Amino acid sequence: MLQIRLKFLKKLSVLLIFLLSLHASLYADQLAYNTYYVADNSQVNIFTTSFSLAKSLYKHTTLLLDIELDQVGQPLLTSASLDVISSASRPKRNVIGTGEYKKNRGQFIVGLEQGLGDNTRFALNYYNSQEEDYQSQSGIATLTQELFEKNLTLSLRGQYNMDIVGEIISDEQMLENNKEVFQLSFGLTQLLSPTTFMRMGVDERLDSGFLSDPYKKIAMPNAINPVIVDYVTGNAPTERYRSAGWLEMSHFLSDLNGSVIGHYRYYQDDWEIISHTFKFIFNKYITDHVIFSPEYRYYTQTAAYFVSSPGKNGYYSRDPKLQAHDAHYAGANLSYYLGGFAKGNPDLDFLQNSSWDIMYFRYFDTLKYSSNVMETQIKFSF
Amino acid sequence: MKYALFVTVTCILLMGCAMVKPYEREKLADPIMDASGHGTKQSLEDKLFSTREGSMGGGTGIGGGCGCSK
Repeated sequence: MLQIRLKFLKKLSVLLIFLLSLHASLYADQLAYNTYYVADNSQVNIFTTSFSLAKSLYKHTTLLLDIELDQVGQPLLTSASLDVISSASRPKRNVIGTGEYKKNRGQFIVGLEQGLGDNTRFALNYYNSQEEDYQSQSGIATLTQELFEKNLTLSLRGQYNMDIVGEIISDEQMLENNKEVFQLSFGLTQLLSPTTFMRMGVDERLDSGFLSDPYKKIAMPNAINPVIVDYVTGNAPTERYRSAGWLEMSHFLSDLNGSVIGHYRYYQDDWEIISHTFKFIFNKYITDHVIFSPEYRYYTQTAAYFVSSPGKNGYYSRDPKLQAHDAHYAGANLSYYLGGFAKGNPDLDFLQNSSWDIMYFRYFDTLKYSSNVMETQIKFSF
Repeated sequence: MKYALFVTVTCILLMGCAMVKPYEREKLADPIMDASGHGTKQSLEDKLFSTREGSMGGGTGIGGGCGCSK
């Protein structure tokens, strides 16, 4: 285990050196380093490190780069059941293995944003994610238009994803399936007063191809001898049409030197899942340089029709994502702006808009899942 | 079609909103007015939610792929 960690740290160091070199050569306008740790009640842990930079290349042209590395760890399962307890299934071969299972994932996003005049921007992004048994690529185009002296901003985004969903059968065997996603999103931001603005939008998405989770197994009676139980992959429809609409209000509280933000999202799809999401954030300046932000999110959803009625139309699944449940996510973020260090030192001027964030959140749902989330980020704006 | 109608009606209604002048926008530009927090917070949270919840959307970031805790 120590060796794996050392290897991972070595990779991180190489990446850090590469990014710092890149930064030195480009003089990025913004550079951020982020670490994120999640540990859940089935002893799965995810450690994420990410770097992102933005650089103005020429007049209205900006280059964006984001690199993210994940490491997922899971202890040896003690139960024969692969999917019942949590979302943390893992390749079958590891059930009989020893020690902690580890999986790495690498992701990068590269983008170019081009201003077309004072009020229009066009951005193109390419996304690539690679791991042992999952590959994903996507192209994203976004058009943003500002209207009425920049009081109203409209945004239109199209996205196409092409995924390869793998299932590790043994050390040398992998089953692969394809999945495609088309998404169209429209959003707007409207200033309502000098202290309030509103954001709203709609998302339409079509998923097609292999839409089951290969590691979420279901106990089914054997076709020949019903006394024997087979563990088989769930069988979900090969298409899913999904829609969401959302509304968000941000209001500055002058008396408290803080702000309050409310967010609501409605979602439905043709698998008969309907969900509601409510989120509230309160931000408060504790000092000129420190912001404290408690946050609460409530989520509720209905079940997919083939989960509430197993076998309907020949489909079945035990994926917790498709079951009816409620979830809560609560915690707080602390941001420290580093501008104080720049006082009287012109060389440190870049710290004026640089910050350090730490946060802790807890997620828990009515399916007896819970996780702790910790994150820290340091961001430099030049 | 219903969304095109929704967008058109919303834009017409919003045209009736009072104009906020550029010099009045200091508070609107404050970092505490941004619901997504710092840059990557939203996308990392979305990844967690996508491993446990069956919905999507809501003005979130780009990306796709595996939820990584599978």
